[in-house]
Amino acid sequence: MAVSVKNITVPRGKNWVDNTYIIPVIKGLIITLRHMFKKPIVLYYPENKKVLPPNYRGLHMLTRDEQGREKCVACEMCSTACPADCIRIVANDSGDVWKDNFENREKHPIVFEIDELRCIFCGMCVEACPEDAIDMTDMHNLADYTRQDFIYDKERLLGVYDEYIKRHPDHAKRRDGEFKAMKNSSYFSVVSVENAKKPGGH
Amino acid sequence: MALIKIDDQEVEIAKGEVVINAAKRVGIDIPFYCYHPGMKIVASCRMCLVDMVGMPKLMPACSTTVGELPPGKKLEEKYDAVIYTDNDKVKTARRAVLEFLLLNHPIDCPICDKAGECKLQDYSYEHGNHESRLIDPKRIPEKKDLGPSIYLYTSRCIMCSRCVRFTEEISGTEELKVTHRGWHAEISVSPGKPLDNKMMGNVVDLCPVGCLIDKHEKFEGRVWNFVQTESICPGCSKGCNTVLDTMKHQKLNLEELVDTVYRIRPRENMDVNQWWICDDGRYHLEGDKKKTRILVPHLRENGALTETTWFSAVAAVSEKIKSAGAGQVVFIGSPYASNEENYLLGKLAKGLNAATDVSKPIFGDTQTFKTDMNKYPFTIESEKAPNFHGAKNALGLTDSKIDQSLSKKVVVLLGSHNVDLKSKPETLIVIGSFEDAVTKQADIILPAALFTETSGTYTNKDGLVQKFNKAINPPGDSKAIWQIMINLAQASGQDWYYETVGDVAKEMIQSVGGFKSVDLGTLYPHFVLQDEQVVA
Repeated sequence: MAVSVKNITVPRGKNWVDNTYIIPVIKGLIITLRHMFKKPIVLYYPENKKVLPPNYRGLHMLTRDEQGREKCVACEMCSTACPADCIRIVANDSGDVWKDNFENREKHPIVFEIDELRCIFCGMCVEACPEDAIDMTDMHNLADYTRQDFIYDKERLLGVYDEYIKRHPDHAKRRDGEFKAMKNSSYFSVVSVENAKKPGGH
Repeated sequence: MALIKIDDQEVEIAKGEVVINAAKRVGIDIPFYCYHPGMKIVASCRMCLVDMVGMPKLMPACSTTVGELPPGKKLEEKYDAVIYTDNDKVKTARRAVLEFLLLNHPIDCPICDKAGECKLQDYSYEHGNHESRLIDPKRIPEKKDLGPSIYLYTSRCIMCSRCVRFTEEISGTEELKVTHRGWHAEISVSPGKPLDNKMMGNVVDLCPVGCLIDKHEKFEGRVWNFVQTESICPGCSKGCNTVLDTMKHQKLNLEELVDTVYRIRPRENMDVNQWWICDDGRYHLEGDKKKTRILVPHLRENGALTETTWFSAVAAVSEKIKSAGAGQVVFIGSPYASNEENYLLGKLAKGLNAATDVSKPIFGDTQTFKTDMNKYPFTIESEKAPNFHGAKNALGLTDSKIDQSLSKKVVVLLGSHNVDLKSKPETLIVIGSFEDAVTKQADIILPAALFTETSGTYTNKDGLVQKFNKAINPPGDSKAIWQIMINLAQASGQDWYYETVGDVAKEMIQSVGGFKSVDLGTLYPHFVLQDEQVVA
């Protein structure tokens, strides 16, 4: 391949001030200096955490009813809706212990597994659930040592709910059936930032 | 014949034929719950109401017949009836009927096993109101235990009375009755007389909603995950047509596919079983679950059966046969194996100059369900094997002489059903699926697939050859019997091979006299396709 040579002339300034580039450098420094006195937009991550909106799609949880039983009735709507095919459910008879007068719950899952590595966190399972039994939390920092550890079983997913409720007691109210009322009011609009530590300056 | 117009389509309707059937013939689906072609018409669900020109009210399509009008009085100058199935009047009626049916329905679809194949669900989406106007609390009665295998979820019932008519007209046992009146009406059994007969599983299939639930299938899986495979019941020599519902699901933590047959349902065949199967066939696989399956080939070494590989097991079989000498080997076919498998056994024996025989089927009771109202009495045959006639045909035998055959030195048994070993032969080779008294005495066991795990044909007691299809993969190392036969033939130096079980069927139908009348194309349509391609 032939090498072609092209001569270019470097544009020169009109005078010596332009040629030293002092003015553009000062202009840039002014921007830097201005930001030193502004509120920082980054966080010191592990110490300070951003409060995520309630509809954030993080780790799944299996919710409990007022009596502490899992709400799930193993209807397999979530596993059917799941585009990543990461939910496995085995249903079983829950016997007479679980039977309410009106809300007949004679079926419950004995196996409920979600492969969080295969999951794409699309939230279709939450939308499909007719019992409000599966929901997503703001937990996103999932880390583990083996792939096997990312398959969350039923007890672990219920544990996620217990932890989530501890951190967000207002969500317990929502679980008690006031979901709709809260949805209409301030629930989805206001994000509380008071609990987070104010990040320090430079 | 009368000529009628349904919506925009013309259709001829025979004398006594109901409108719903005529509409189905031209592809118009009229919704219905209580109608069943095999049973008496009651027109109680009111779902199939259609608008008939000239009638003061809407007419139920399942009970309305049309006669011929005199020439001068024809509607639109040529029709004997003009019917609308989709106008506003009909739509309003359907919506109203569904509102009444759903008035006290618990809408517990998430826990109902019928969800997905429920007609109440389907029609609610298609024709329903999508909301309830009921402000009072719903009346939700308790579920009832009707008998050894059926639950009645009283609250889900829509009172179509199909199950009641089934026990009155088909099984003739009359266990189910409608008790109470008005909106308190319920399906019940009499005290001390539970729903317990050999046909009771059919009421679960008949129920258009999830009211009657089978205890065996309760919470086993959701119906939309099932894959359907057409099959033949191996329970008796009647050869009922069935559908196997299987499911492939993934075990997340093992990354392996598990497939299981979840249920067996009847498939309509007016020549054999009409719409029904008996419970022996329906729960056929329940009995197999209790037995221990043989998953790998076994070889007797130093007096004990030890697990081995296919290669060494097949080599051992051909060695035993070779060392025994021609006159001392017998291959015993099975009435529980398909025609193709018995044919290959015969072919293998012929190549080795060995004798052939067939084991006897198990005989049980005959039970006939006959009532005055049923045109087709249902009989459970006494011969509890699917293919005794076909096995005899494929092997070219007239009857079983198994007692004489078992005295030979080397006995190759295809299946160990109903084989009574008085004294153990010198070498006993069993091709079987389950551990039993015979396989315990065997010197070599080759694990075989069941009827759900391979394809083939059975010949029923009337000589009808019917095909069953492979639904699931054989577990462990077990293989289909026709594949085992090919392995044995190749190990003993015979030069034949078949790609599929259809190739075996093709050769069998051409060479065995008893199968001359069988049409290969109906059993294995791909052969017909191949021939057409060659012509083109």
